[in-house]
Amino acid sequence: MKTGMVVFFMCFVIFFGLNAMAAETAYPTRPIEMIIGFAPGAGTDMGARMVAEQSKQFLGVDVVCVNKPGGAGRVAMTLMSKAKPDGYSLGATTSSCIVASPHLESVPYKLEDFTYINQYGTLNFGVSVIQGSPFKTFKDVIEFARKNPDKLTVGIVGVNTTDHIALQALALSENLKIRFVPFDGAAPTMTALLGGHVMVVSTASSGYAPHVKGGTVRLLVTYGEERMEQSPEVPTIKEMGYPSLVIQSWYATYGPKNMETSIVKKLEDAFGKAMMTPEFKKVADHFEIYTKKPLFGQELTKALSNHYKNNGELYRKVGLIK
Amino acid sequence: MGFQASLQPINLLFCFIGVLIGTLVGVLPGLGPTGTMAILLPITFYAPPLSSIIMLAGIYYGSQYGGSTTSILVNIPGEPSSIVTCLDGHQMARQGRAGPALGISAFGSFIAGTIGVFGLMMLAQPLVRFALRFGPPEYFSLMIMGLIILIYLTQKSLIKAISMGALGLILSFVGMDIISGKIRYTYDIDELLDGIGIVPVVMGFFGIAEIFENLEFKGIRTLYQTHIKGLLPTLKDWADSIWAIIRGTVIGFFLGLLPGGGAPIASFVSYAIEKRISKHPERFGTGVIEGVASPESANNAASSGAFVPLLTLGIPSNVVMAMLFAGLLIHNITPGPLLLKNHPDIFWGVITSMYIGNVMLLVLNLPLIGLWVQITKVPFRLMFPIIILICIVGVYTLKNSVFDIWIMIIFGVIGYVMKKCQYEPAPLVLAYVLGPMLEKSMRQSLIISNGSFKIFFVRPISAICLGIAAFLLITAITGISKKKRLEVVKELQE
Amino acid sequence: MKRLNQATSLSLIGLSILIITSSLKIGVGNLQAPGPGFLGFLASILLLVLSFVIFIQDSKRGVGEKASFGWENLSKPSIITVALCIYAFIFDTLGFLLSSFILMTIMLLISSPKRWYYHMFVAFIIVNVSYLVLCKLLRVVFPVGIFRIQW
Repeated sequence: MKTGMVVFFMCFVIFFGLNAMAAETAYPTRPIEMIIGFAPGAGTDMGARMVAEQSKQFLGVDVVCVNKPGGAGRVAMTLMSKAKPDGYSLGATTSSCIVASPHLESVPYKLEDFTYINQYGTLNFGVSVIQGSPFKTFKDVIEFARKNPDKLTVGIVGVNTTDHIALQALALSENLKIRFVPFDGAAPTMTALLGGHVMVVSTASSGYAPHVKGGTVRLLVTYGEERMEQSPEVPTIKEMGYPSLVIQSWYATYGPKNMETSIVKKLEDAFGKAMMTPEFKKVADHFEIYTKKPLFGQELTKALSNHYKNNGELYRKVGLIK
Repeated sequence: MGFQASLQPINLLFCFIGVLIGTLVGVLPGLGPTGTMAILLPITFYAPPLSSIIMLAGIYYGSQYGGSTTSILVNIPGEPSSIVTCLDGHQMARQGRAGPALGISAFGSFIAGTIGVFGLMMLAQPLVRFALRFGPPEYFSLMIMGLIILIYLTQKSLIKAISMGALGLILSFVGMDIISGKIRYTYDIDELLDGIGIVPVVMGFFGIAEIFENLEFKGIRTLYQTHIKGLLPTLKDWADSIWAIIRGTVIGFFLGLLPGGGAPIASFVSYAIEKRISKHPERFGTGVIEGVASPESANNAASSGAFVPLLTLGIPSNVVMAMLFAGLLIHNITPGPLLLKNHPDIFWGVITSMYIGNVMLLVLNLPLIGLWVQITKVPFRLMFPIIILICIVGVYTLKNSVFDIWIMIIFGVIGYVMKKCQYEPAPLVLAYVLGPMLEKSMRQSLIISNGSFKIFFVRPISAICLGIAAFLLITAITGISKKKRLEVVKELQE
Repeated sequence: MKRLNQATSLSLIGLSILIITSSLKIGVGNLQAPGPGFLGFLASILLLVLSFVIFIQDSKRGVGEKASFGWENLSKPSIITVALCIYAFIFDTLGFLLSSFILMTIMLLISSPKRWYYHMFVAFIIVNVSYLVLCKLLRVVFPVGIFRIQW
């Protein structure tokens, strides 16, 4: 009996042990884990999965995507801030977690806690109404709000999202009283619009794009720097006379701080190539997150810190923080 | 035309794979269809669009079928929508009637699913307009109605059930508040930012606690002490359940339509209504077959209903639909009002494949009943470690978080203690499911109405729901007081 | 039994008081404009009142059922609870395969302390079969731990 036991133990150890051997040569030698801070199916997730999928051929290893949703991306970022910077733990998120959240809530991480790899998409926001709405242009909406204080209902996707803050700033500067009705996700917000429960909504492109294509919803204005390619007849908020409200939010991949530059360079390279593949372009086009000139590495970091600083000023102006 | 498309071999294959995976996913408690679909979504990039959608859809309603299996066999719901099935289904299994329970569940699901598909085909357009009229005030009143229905789910002390409900509500508020953006009751634990998570709670409360209870007895035992009485529902079973199935289907389909509504709510509303109109309500919870037929039909009808907003309006009613939505988009197909016009083959292909899928599931599941019933003969001391492992895995795979495992353990212990003190788990879990939507809708409605409560009464649908809720509440209280009077009389006589 | 019931209702009372204070801190608002703590506040007050009633009910009732609380009854659940806690601790460090193997062995051992290498064998099979189904078939991702055990 005793020998049987010993033999069994040995088999066990050998079986497991054989699998445990790993050789460390050039990076990457084993699958990389990418933590996505949002639920599957959302814009962040789809874009990240495509990047991961397409970059496999350039990196030579699998990039495995794991969803750890929570707190609008903040749980994942907190976890990543404590991860090992060996290049095998990466993350994908929206920039608002980095440039907005640290101002507004007490999160246990800051901008400097991460190494930024690349931007894989842009969140475009827009204001839309249903087809039969009496509001024909964005100016109509503002006029209505001015003449009828406290009557305009605007559906938003979550409190203090980038576009919500922009609208709050608008309301402040024009002295308007608007009622913001928050929903938790683009889908319920659009549903409320279609059901007539709110008059206007402000969402990211993943919210309004399918409905605009389907013809049930009309886009009034977008928040980007230039007109969107997909809807060239829709003016930007800059053209409407509010240049300070131009907002942009990005999808970005990142890792913990102090990652080796050679590793970061390799990743930037691979992800960049992944974004040029037609499969990626197709998905990006559908969710309208495609970026013509995505930012990488150092440029991205610089742009993010600028964003962070500007946001601080904007929030102080709007009165969100002291 | 749709049948032409869906009967092609490749689509049949994808359908089969889909329902197979779906059943597996549904049987494994905790492992929801969403995660699996997310993983499989990249495959759909390379497969033809119709086939991929068929597969993903198959996974979805396959999981509704599979979820009931574990509910009946081991009192652990495989899906949130199967929680109610545990109540009577497991009791039936304990009486040796696991076969009929599984059988009626399979048949009921099939009938409901098929009728649901027809409903989808015929009534999609007008129904969706009805569904759109449900705004925040309507949801709020619906949730109130749901909470009152909690009262109908109790067998034991009413006060304890209500306190479990209150506790469930409280637990559901933990996490980030969507209206104000503030973080509540998390006491600085990051992982709680998104709330406690229903699956770990359910696994702990129903699963671990149940196993602990069973472990108290010494000696060898199988899962149940009695021997198996037959594998399929008897004629009497059918007679008892047929109306339950029909009612369940109708209720389920309508509730499934509502974006954000869906299967869990459908199953327990259906169960409660069944109990309410039954001639022997006090037998619910002891193993009546209507108590299985009704919720199972409801949740399958609800999954058919859930397709309506997606296919006609392009609005996904839940996370699973959102994945299907993404899948369609990848293939250049925009679900919405133009889907029928631009891609009728996809529209009809999906619908007919749902019908075929239902048939496949029935064919798959019926022979498996024999297999499942054999499993109940396996000695408990071998089964329970496997069950615990399955629970752990199910919980972990949700968010890849060990913290969720901790939640499960904690609630397992709490659930065990609660059970010993005669508190029932069901009201807590159901309140937990309803809580977020209740609060959200209330506050959204008040923003829309500028603080006026009139909005709940002025809008017709909302007023009707509140009226039903009040009616149920009043009849429940008068019913209770009659029982209490009987109890008091009995005590006095002793 | 009676003591356990009392303890439970007391804990519920304690919990509801805790939640009430938290709700007040984050702001309850009023009926026109409910704050984030509004419904939590209401629910916990309800819980407080009901738990109180239950407590009184339990205290009035005599010692009804005999306590089913000997060590004999509690031993298995307690051991499993401890094992589960250990499992949760080591899961990430040791990886799925190894920690689940240890857990399974312990759980199987509880029932019949003899023939423990037989249990290890069964545990081995079960853990690997689940790994096969979950990781390979359903593409679930598990931690591999510091020994990087996977296949």
